[in-house]
Amino acid sequence: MKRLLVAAVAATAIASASVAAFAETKLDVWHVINIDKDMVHDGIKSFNEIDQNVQAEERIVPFAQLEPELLKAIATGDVPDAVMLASNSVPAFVVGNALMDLTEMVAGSDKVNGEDYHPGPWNSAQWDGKVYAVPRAANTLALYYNKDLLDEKGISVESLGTWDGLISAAEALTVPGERFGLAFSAIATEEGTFQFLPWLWQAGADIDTLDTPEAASALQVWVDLVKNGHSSKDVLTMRQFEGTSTFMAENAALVISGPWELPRIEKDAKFNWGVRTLPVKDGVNIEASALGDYNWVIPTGAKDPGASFKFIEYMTSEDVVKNAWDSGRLSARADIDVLVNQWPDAFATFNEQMKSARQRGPDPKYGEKSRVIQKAIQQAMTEELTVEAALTEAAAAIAKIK
Amino acid sequence: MVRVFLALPMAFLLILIGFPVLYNVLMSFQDVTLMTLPQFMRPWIGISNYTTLLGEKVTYEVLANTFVFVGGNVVFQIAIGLSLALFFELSFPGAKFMRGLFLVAWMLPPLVIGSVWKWLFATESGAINAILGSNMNWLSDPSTALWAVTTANIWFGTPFSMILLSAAVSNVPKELLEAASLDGAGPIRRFIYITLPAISASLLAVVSLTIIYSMRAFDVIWAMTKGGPVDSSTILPLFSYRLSFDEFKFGGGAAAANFAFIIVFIVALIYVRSIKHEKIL
Repeated sequence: MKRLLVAAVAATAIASASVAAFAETKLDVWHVINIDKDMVHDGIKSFNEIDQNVQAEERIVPFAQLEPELLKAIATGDVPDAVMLASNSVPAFVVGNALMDLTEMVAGSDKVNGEDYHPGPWNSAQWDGKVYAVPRAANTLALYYNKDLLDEKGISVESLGTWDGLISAAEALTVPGERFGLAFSAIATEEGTFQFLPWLWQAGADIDTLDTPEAASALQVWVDLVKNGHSSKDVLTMRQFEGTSTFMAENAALVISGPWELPRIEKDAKFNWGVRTLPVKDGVNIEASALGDYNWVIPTGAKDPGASFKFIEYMTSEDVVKNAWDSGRLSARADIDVLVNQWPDAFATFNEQMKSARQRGPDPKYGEKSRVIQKAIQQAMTEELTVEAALTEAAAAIAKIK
Repeated sequence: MVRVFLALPMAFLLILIGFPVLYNVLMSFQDVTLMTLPQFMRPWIGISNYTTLLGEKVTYEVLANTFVFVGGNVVFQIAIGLSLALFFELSFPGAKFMRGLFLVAWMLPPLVIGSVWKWLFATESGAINAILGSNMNWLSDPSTALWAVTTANIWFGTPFSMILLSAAVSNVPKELLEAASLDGAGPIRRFIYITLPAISASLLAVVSLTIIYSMRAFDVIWAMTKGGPVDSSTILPLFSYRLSFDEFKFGGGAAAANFAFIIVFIVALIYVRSIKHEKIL
């Protein structure tokens, strides 16, 4: 009998030990960041060290595949526990009932506070007065320049601060058959819209006022840059990554791009370079850029929302976010001083630019409207339609999207 | 026992092929939003997804693009594939090895092929402009983009057509060719009167397969142009993808996919019939 008891106790002990080993919660985390230096990787690693029972497992999904993959997961009901979603996509997923309402969790949290955040990123986390996401970082566009080439042509960095200045610099820096003045991306994806919106806003127009002379003046700049040969016609199929590559290869003297390219530019650009804020339209003087980066969300139907939220709390805490600049990301939180171990000038520039960075939307139909803008851009730049005709058509199409 | 062996593949077909096809047909008659996506029963809207698509100009552009893309692929993949098959049928040292080498192109991932061709067709840094000494905007000009992606896909698909046709060509009875040659028939006549009739069934099969494969092309075009500029290189699969995953119009995406499905289904029927025909021969 005694022996039996011992055996039973031993069995129970082994069973409970193995229960403990298997009791751990596995969090299925999806994100798009494949830059080694990014804070997300160390963040996940250190999160997993806090509590052996809660382990986050990352799955890196390519940017273009993330939303299709998430939609597939939603359709089959087998969703991940936390996802890094492009901030402009949040409303569409909220309206589709695909994201968990975090309002109460945020209200009860001592780590996530709306007041700590910059207004732009925090707005992108909300819809209809409720909180559905927590911003992980922020980025925006600015103008990179090849300092050596500017010096060679006697062009000052200050002169790039207006549309006219930038356009004439692009002309002066162009060497036909060898080098373009300015590289940017007008590709028929969200990247193209992201690049166009700053110009549209600087001109004093917006997505719902495309059939105005202001909007036309913005698109006209892009059309002329290509028509006059100061930008490659291949901007129509160039991703921002590829546009930046032409800059690094000295096939373009200037490029409009984001801080996420800093690690690559530093490594591969064999010349003196710098970055400054985007130009303003002469006489209008509206500073504007587009706000980018990702928000953490919990899809509806996630198995353990409490654990997911703990993960998000950690990933947006000072411990993680202070390293944002390692991969050229800015903090979405105003109360955190990011460690500036590198590129101090660029940090200052992007911080300055961030003040005028606007969010895209928020609008559940933003994706559809963005498609319309991409089409108008491409129609005008291939000279299939005039700038005015393309934008009038686009304005009519956008008015129909309800 | 026979029934068990029959039931397994039937179950496989029904679950993995029949269900998705029917599900897609069902979706094309429903109002599918993000909210209703996980459900099975969604608001029934009849043929409204189809009429919406057919009411838009872009749908016809996409259909026309698909026609050009598939047609171009069929004509050139067969013509080049058959020429190569005949060429490698001549016995010269290394013929078999080199024929095998051609298949490497077909084994590469389509996204890699798309990226390589994007670079080849680039305006300033591209190899094609460098060789031609031209300054064409192959991928950013709506009038050439479709042909550029078609060319890349032809390059991608030709080795496959060639291998299938090689098998057919090498099965042509040698005695017949020798007899014809003794009767004074030259290579062209031998080809027209002996080789061509003998491989006609395989030819039809390869044409069907090429149509089916080109109707599904996605990755190569995605890597090269994303369907642009201005939809000029968008074919049905890209169109369907964009409706579903960029604009969240899942019903419209399903309807577009069904257009492609109907075409492929008809071609597949012809293909199955041609295989039957082959057996009778």
